[in-house]
Formats: sequence, structure tokens, C-alpha cells
Amino acid sequence: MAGVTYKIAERRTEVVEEVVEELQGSFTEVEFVSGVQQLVAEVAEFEDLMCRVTHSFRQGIQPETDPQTIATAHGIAYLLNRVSALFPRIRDLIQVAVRRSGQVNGIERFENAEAAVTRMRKDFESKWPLPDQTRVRVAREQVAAGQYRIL
Amino acid sequence: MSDPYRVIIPAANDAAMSAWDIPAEVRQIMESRLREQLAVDPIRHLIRAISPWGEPLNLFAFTVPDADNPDRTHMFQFHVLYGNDEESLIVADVGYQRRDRNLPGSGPGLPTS
Repeated sequence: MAGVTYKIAERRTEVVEEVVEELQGSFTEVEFVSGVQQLVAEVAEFEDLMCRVTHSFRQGIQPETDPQTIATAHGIAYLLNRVSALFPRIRDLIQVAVRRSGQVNGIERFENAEAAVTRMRKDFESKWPLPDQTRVRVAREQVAAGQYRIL
Repeated sequence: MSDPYRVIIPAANDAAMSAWDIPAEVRQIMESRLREQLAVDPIRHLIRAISPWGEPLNLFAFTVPDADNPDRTHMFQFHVLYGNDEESLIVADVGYQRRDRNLPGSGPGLPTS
């Protein structure tokens, strides 16, 4: 079962994803810039949040790791990918906000958080047995082409 | 009792599994787990998981102790999809690690396939 911190991180990620989407719509300049500013502050805190989510998984898979924990690690990897994907989208919004207002605060913290989450994601992926999207796609193609054996 | 599912191993994953450097008896146990547990009762043995790209996948994972080396463990992970015919299971990705006690990370690194 996913931990409380994971659930909180998942919910916060969902909310930020929704806000990023909403900010693509039409807003007054003040509303837009304020929204971007708040997003920048919010995702800067994701470094600490994801650090707590991944904390007990830092050692990676061990011989005594049970399958449910491996499955939970999959969920964390997915969440890390979703969080990583937020940063470039918000950077695009920052650029628009800067053009409109001239300034967005907290960029350095935002960039530090992005770098930290990227490091965290790569470290996590190197320590857990996660499926590979290309291999899964190839597997499907090979089944469709009759290139398989039946055990 | 219903018929077992057909366990379909795509060629690339079959080749990856063949390349695993594992003792013959460990390979036998691995295959018997696939035949006797996964194929017979997937609902019991599969754990729902999500891929890093957000696609639902089922996980069949287990460890096999090495009979010749009590400090060695063989760890297997199979990512499994249900076939459209509801009679087959597709092994969509495979993973293997070997771990020796007191030597963390020994053997093939992650991810392996």
C-alpha cells in the first residue's frame, strides 16, 4: 500500500498539473503572472516532497524486497516522471510571464528543484527493476507478428 | 479447475531470458513458477502496478535461493499483460538480478532484461 506521503505527493502533483493546464487559458495579465509565481513556489517544494517519498526506497531492490514493494516502487517512478514533466511546462509559462511582467521570483530555487528531481529520478530508475517502454512496445509488436514462444 | 493461461514470451524477451547467466536448476524453478503459478492462477500471483509512463502493467516477481551458494539470491521480475483473448498472458518485459549477501549490487546491474 502506498504511504501517506506518496498519496499527498500524488494529489499535489495532480493539482499542479491541473493548474498548469488551466493557465493555458485566458487570464488577465495580473492573474496569469500571479498564478505562475505561485506555481514556481509550489514546485520548488517538490524537491523536499519527493525526497520524503523516495526515502525508504533509496537502497533499491534487495533480496528480501517483497513484490508489493516493487509494485509501489513502480508507482513512485511514475510519480517522479510526472513531477519531472512539470518543470519544462512551467518554464514555458515563466517565459511568458517574464515577457508580460518583466520578473518572476524564485527561479533559482525552481531550477535547483528541477535538477534535484532529475537526479532523484535517475538514481531511482537505476536501483529498481522497472519496465522499459520500448521493450514493452517491441513485445506487443512481436506478439502481433507471431514472433513468440508459448511456455 | 479452469485451463491454465497460455504464457506468451515474445522473441526479444525470450532471448533476454536465455542470456541470463543462471544455474540450470534456478532456470527450471523460474520456468516452473511461470507454468505452475502464473499460468494457473494469475489473479492470485499478479500484482497490479503502473509503468513509469503511466500504463497499467501486472507484476510477477519472486526470488530463488541458489542451492550451491547460500549467500546468493536470484531475483526475477516479469511484467505481464493479459491477452485480448483472455486466455493468454503476454510477458511484456523481464528483469533479473543476482545478489550476493554482503556484496550489495553484485551481479548484473539494474535494469536487466
